[in-house]
Amino acid sequence: MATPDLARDRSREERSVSRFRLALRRFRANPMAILGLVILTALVLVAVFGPLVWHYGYTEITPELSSPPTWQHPLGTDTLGRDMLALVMRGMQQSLLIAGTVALIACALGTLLGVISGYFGGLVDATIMRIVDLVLTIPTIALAAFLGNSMSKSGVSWLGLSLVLGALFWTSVARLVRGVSLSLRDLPFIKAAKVMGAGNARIMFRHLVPNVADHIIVSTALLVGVAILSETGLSFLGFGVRPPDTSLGLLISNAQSAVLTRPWMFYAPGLLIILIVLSINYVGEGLRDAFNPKASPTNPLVTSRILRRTKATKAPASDALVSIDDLTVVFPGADKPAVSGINLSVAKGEVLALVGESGSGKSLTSLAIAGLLPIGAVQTGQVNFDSKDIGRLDFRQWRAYRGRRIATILQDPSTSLNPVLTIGAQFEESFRIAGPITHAEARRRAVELMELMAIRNPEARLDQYPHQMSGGIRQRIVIAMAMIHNPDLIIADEPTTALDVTVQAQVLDALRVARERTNAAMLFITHDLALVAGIADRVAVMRNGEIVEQQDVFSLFANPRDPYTIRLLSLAPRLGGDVATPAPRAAGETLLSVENLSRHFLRPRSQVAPGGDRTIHALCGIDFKLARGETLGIVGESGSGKTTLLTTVLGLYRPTTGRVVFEGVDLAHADAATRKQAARHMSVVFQDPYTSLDPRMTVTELLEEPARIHGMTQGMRKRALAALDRVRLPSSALERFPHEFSGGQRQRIAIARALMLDPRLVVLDEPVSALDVSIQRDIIELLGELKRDSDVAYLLVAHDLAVVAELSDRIGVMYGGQMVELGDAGQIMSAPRHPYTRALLDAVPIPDPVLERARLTGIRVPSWPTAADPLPPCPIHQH
Amino acid sequence: MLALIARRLANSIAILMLSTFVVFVLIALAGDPLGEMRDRQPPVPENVIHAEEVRLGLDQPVVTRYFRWLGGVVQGDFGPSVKPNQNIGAELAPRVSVTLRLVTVAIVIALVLALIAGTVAALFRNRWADHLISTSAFVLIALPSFWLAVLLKQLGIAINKASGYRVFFTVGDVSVPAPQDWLALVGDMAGHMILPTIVLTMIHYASWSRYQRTAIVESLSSEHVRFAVLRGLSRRRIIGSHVVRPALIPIVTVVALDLPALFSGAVITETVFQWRGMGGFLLESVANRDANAVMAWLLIAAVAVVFFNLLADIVYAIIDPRIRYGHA
Repeated sequence: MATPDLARDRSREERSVSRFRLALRRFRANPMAILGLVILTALVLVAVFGPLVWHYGYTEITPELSSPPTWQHPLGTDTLGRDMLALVMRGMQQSLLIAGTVALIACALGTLLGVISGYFGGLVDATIMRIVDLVLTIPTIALAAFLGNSMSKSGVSWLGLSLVLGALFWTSVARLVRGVSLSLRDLPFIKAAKVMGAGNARIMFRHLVPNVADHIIVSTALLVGVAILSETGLSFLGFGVRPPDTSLGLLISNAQSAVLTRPWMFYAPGLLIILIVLSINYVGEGLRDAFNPKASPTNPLVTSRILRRTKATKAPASDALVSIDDLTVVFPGADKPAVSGINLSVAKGEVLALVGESGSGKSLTSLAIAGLLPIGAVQTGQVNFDSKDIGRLDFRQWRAYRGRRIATILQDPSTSLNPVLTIGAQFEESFRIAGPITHAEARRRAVELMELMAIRNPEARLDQYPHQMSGGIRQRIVIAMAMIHNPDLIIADEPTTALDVTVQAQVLDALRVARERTNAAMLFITHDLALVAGIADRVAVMRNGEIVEQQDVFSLFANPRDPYTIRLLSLAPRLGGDVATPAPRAAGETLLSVENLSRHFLRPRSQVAPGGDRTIHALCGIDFKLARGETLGIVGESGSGKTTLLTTVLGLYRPTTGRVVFEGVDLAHADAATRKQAARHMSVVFQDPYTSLDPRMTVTELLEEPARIHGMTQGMRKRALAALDRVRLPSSALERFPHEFSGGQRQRIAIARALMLDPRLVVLDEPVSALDVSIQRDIIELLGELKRDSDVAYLLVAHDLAVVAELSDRIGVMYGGQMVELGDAGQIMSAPRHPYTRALLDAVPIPDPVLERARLTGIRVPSWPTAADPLPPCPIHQH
Repeated sequence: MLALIARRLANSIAILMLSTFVVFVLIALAGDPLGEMRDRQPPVPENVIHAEEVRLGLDQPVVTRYFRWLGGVVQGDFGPSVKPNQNIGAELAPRVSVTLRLVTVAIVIALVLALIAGTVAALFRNRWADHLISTSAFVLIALPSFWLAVLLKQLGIAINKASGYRVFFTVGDVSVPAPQDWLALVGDMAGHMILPTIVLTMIHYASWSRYQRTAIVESLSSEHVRFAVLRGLSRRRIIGSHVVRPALIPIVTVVALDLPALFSGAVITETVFQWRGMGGFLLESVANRDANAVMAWLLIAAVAVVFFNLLADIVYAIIDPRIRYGHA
């Protein structure tokens, strides 16, 4: 079975490019940064070599007192007859020397404390942050002045001054490094390293520091500028560098009364300080942009400056509500168009589903209809709405359509709503676009709409903020807002992708209600063919920017024409189909035994009403055994505890009660050395291939790391090659970096890494949910193959029943931290016993229009838990 | 909410105590306040030096001295100064209000200007308005405050001389003798404040405006702004409630963190414009190696910083509903 995404690999002839080199390229392309670098280098060279070349020393007294600039003295002389150029160069030397030293001290101290603080968290972090707070309460100048003054009678040497300033400035670096470390700490590649058995020091210095390096560099560069200003300020006040030595600040201080009479004495040092700090800041900002290029920021308020070359306007065809003719969208610099000559139409009241995987162009098409293509996109072709060309409208003209005639629902409800406005306020502003409305009337209508969406306590919700409700409710509120002005068209862009499967059913219901009430047409965009079976009237399948097939829904499912559609249909999960029949095995030796495992968290006090119960029962009495070579799949939605179960089994966290016994060793209560030993035979594959591999390491380093940690460096290279071979990746991958591979390939690398030490147990956390449907199939098949070839056991966690069903011998279903059902895969899928399992199975849409429509309108399986039959309380005592 | 405030308050006091202790020790170890006396020629008799030591409490171990000092402070007594017959507390009190005047006005003006400039620069990103605002901000950040202060002062003097008329006040925080009438007094103070405020404001306005620009640029790219556009809201409403409002929150912390820098800036500004504020007091005390005076100064500065941070935390908690209301 060929891996479909190797084409990209083969076309690369050039050497693999590290992120550092990419950053260097970006820096070079930034004109201000280069200018700053040039000026800075010039100034440094002058400061270092100038005094050697210039024939006046800075202490030398010449007979020309207070002379304005001449050829002999290009910057004039001061009242004592000293040459200003010599003085200024000496001053620059001092400033650069001191600032450089301060930056180094601050960088070293700040990085060390920041990484330790961010990595360990908890008490260590709190202590270090208190120290930072402490240091921050002291105004630098005050303390530096006093210490500098007291430490020696004749003023302090440059080193002393540097030490004092460094000891006060490290805090900004520490804060920054800590912040970044805290966010990195939770990333899968750090967790993977811990699971592999890496020690804390190794993780901090081989994984954290290189990934924080860019922030450190930027922050240190900017610190040099601040240090120069501080040192010159101190010298100005008389507490920094003192006579007979000189500093730019001292020079300015001496020139205070001479600003108008002998301006060269005042302006030369001042302008130089400005020049140095300015160039440092431009270099620093340039570095920051080079290391962390943000995705080109968009501004949807700008009247779109999309270039357009429309052909002669054809008379818009038919009475279709939306008609798209030959639409092409090209991004500058891309070799092929993102959307390529598509023709679509949506009739009034019709539901058109646009199906495709990532990169198919489906979202861009919907953005084109709503007039929100990203800046820089070049659009050709026509987009007609109700027989009018809406391709050339400006912001004001668009407002007549948006919200009123075309309503949009976006994918992630947690980011669609404004976090600082109440729900009521957001409803009201949507009402107002059609004219003034009283506060009370707006509330009344909003409540009405929310009740339609089956939202309980709508009155209370109006005064709440988005973060106070769950994803399903948020999305239903978004749908309610879409209904306000009875739009002609509702565009729903992956409305359920971010939600659990049971919540998905509720949201789809809400969409159905919205359509019925408003008689709106709907453009439903998704990657999940099964979803469209129940709602769509017609389906258009997109791939690589083109529409490969467009038919009404029944015909499409019954007689798909295009090979891509056929493939997508075959990949749509059908439950009740082939379920892995467990290979008959003799009572296998128990590899992993989880006994009465529980974990409780305490909610922060601020989130609980006083006197309320603060305990969160993340895991409650979980009990199961896993035999050698067996695959156990755990299914659950968000909040079920499946992730907590994984992290506890992996040893990332200690359980509150219970045991995790792996190969006879109690992992939860073993010491570090024993756990590391056990780690040899257990490995993990995480969900998101984009964050589970350290972006700074080559594939070789990534694969060899487990071997290095366990001291098995003999034959490492051969093992790595063998592992790559097993996951069907070429050996040329070894010298590449993760960012050069696609998602599916990265997941293969992660699997290869998990196989390096021939583990007995591989723990898989949602191994395919972050991948496209067609790639998912490949990875699942790969996992199946690997299982058959070796005796490895899988502990698989997923929210997708189909994935679990295919690979697992046994299935466990979790809800609310408890295992509600555990049994053979076949039994669970065909004859589930627990009401929740039944509800879960029912919520999965069937990729068959006839069956799915019948299911939706027929008798539904009751949801669980209900008031009458709730989740039993956790039997574990609370302490 | 109240619990949050109470906890932060307790935290702040703890930090304050710890900070004053550390600084006290540092200062005590840093140098000998009587060093100058010991070096004098002809040599000062031993018993005089010893008497001075006892007066200043230098014969006791550091920790004891700290607690004695702390005890005194709580009662308003900052301890003996190197300059005999100087009551540190009485000397500092009026100076605090002088500096506070300068610092508060500077913060308010700088903040307002920064919010406006940052927002405008972000909304017109990469157009001429942005280039103008950003470049001037960069230059201002690189500008040494003392240089700007001297420049403005001399320019003010020159303008006064050229026009023969007192256009700018360049010396002191208030005229001597001060006008009695309340309104005239305020006007007089305001006039004296113009130049120093410009100095202090410019530097901080520049860095805060850069920060705000970044915040607004990010806010413009956020999903909820895109959603607001798709709902057909007016540009004004979107910019006001959806772009700017959420982006206002983080700058509160930035301003609070910058306060010590503001104090340092105030020291320099007061020195140049010869204000009888805390800045002048500090410099004198440092020059005299007056440990108790410097401690008093640092204590007041630390209290101000801690208080402002506490205030910022509270304001943050009020305006960010995600902190104010946990999860329902």
